[in-house]
Amino acid sequence: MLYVYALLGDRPRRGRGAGIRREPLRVLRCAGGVFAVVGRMTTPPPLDAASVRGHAVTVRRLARSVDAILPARFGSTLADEDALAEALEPRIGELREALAVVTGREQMTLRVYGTPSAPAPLPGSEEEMSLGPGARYLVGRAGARKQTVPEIEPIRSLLRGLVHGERVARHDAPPLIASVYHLVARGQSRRYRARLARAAPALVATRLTVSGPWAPYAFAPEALG
Amino acid sequence: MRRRVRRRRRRFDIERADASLLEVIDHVLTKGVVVTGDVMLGLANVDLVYLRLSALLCAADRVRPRAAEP
Repeated sequence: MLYVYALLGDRPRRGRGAGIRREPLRVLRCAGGVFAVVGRMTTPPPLDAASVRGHAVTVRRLARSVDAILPARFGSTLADEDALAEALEPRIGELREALAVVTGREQMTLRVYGTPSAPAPLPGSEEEMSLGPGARYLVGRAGARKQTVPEIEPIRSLLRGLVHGERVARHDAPPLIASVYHLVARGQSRRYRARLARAAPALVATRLTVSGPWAPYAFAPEALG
Repeated sequence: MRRRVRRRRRRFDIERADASLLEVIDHVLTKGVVVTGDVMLGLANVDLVYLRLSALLCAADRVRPRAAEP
């Protein structure tokens, strides 16, 4: 079977190295100029810390040798190259678009802790109907965007110009409110962290942790579907 | 005499969580391109097990709250 580590926009500039089980990595050219990095295995890797870290380390190494990378989710296996081609061919368009977005960029991850802000009124609720038409329109738009993080609005202006993309996942696990994934130009992670540090006084009852840079895991087409 | 240093509680901590296994799990297990609709995982001492992604995400959610410490 083939174990998929990542999809690339070009061949790696440096050696591919080895995978989770020290298996040699192969670069397969797929349709539409997309490349897949795979390892051949007889059985899937176990779900343990070593394998999970091994996948992450392999992806990180590949990310350093290519401008555009979409990490594959852990455990992505296919029978052979024909199965890989069959799986990717219908999605080449969206994968090329996603690779274009992440070209030359990397991901920073924010975890937002604190007390969730008050939710928007439910559509059609008495509370919503008490609003004026303009406010109801805005509430409706906000409701359509279920994944918002108003708790970090005070710091967004400080990150302007650094963030080229954002993905959000709200959590029902207080004090963890949300995870925010930001796409930044490669080499800008230090500046990103410095701006967050300056933003501290603007946050009220909210705590952030930041990690990264990561390969752009959250910017795969279905990463937060 | 030991000098007691009182640390002011900061509302914003830039914690370097990069090495955290839970951070790795969140990225590697719940994000990334899904090449197929399912993932296949090998479990120690168990024959090949075929898991649906929904089950995998449930497992990640059970692990993740431990990291949510203020």
